[in-house]
Amino acid sequence: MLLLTAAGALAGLRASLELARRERQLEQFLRFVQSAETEVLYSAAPVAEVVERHGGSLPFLRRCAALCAAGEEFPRAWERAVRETALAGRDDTALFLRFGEGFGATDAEGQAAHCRLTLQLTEQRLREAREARRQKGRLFRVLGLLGGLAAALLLC
Amino acid sequence: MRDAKRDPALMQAAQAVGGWVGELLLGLSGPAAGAVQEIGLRAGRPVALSCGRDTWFPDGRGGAVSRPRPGLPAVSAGELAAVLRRLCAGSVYRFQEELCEGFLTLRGGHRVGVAGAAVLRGGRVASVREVSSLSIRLARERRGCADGLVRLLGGRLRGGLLLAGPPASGKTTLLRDLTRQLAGGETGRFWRVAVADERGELAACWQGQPQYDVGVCCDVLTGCPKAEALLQAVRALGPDFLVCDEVGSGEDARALLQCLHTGAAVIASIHASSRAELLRRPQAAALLSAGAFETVALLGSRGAPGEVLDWGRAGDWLAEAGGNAAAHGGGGPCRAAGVA
Repeated sequence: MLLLTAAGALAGLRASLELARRERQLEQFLRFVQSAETEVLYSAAPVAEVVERHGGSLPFLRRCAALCAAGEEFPRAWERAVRETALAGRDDTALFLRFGEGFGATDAEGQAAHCRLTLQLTEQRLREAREARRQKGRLFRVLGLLGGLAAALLLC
Repeated sequence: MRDAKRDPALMQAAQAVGGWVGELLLGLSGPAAGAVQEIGLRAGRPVALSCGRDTWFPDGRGGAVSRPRPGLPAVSAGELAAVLRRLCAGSVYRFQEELCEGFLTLRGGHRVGVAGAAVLRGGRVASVREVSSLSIRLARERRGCADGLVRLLGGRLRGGLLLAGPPASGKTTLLRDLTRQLAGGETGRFWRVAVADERGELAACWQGQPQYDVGVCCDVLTGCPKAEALLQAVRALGPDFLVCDEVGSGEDARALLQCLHTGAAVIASIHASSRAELLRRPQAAALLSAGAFETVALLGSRGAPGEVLDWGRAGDWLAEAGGNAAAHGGGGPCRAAGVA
C-alpha cells in the first residue's frame, strides 16, 4: 500500500518537475539566443564557436558543439542534437529546429531579425511554461499522491 | 581517363561545395575532369564547367556533355543558398563584406564570385540576398610560369612592369609567380615585395595565411582598397617592389603616381587586349606618360594564357602611338611557360 502511494506521489512529482525543467530550458535557450545575437553583431564569431561558448547550460547545445567539433556541418549538427537529446516538453522542438535552420544563413542584419523573432517566440513560450507550472505543478503532485492512494485502496 | 579525384584543386572545391553538387564534381571523369577552371552554379540551370574555351555540363553519371539538355542535374535556388552557407562554414554573416564586393575566398585560394539581389543602403551595396549564381574559379598555381618573362626582362623589372591582357589571359597568374620569384630569392636576391591584394586574388589569404606561395619576403595587404594599400605599403613596409592586380580606376592610377620616386618599382596588370586598346585607356596612358612603368608586356588571349604576345619600352609605345615612328624596342611573342 505504501509502495503504491509512493509510486503515485513520485509520478506526480516527476510530472511537476518536468514542467519546471521546461521552464528552465526555455530560460536558458532565451539567454543563449540573446548571447548569439550579440556575438553575431559585435564579434562575428562563427556559429559553431557561438554554440560552444554560450551553449554550456543546455544538453542539446553541448551535443551540437561536440558534433561541430567532430566535423559535422552546423545545420545538420544542430538538427541531430535537437532530435537526439531528451528535451523537456516536445512542443519546443519545432522552435529549436527553426532557430538552427536560420542561424548563420544570412547577413548580420538578417541574423539580428532571426534572433529577435526567436526571442519573441521563446518569451511567449516561457510565459506559457511559467503559467503551466504555476497552475499544474502543485496539481500534478497532489493528483499523483491521491492517485497512488486510490490505487492502493482499490487493490488492498 | 581523367578523374576528378586526381585533381586536388577540383577535389578541394568539391568538398567545400558539399551536398549533391560536391558529389557530382567528385564523381566526374572524362575530358572535363582535371581541366576545370571554373564551376558555374546558377539557380534553375545545369552545373557548368568551364575548361578554357570549352564548357561542359555534368550528366550526373560521371560524364559531361558539351551541350545542355533536359534532365541534366540543375541547381535549385534553395540548394544554391545551402552551398553558399557551406562555403561560408555555416556563418554567412562573417563574409558580409566580401559578399558585398561580390566574392569570397576559399581555403586553397579558390574564388567564389557571387551574384544575387543587392541590398543597397546609402547608395552602397550593404548585403546580397537571393543568390542567383555562384562561380567558383579554381586556384591553380603555376610555379615557373614567369620564368620566360624574368629571363626576357631581367634588370628591367626594377624600372616597373605593366602586364596588359584580356580577361583570362593569365595576368594574375604571371603576377603571382613574378612575386614568388622576386620575394623568394629566385632572381638572385630576396627582394621585399608588398602586394596590394584588394580582392584576395594574388595571395588568396585565408585566415591570415597566403594560400599561394608568394615568397618569404612578401607582405600582403588583403581587402584594403588598392590605392590605400599601395600608399600604406610605401609608408610602412619599405618595399623594393609594389605589386597590384587590375589597375582600373582613376584612384588606383593616382595612388600609383604617388608611389613613383619612392624607391619602389611597380608591377601591375591592366585589362587591355591590344596595344591600341591599352593606350586608349586614360589611366594607362597617364601612368605610362608619367614613367610609372619602364616596360609593358601584352599577354595572349583566353586560348593561350600566359603567352607574351608583345612587349616593349613604355616610352617607345607612347611615341609610336603619338605618330613618331620610333624603333620598336620590344620583341615578338614569348611563351611564358604555359599558364593554361
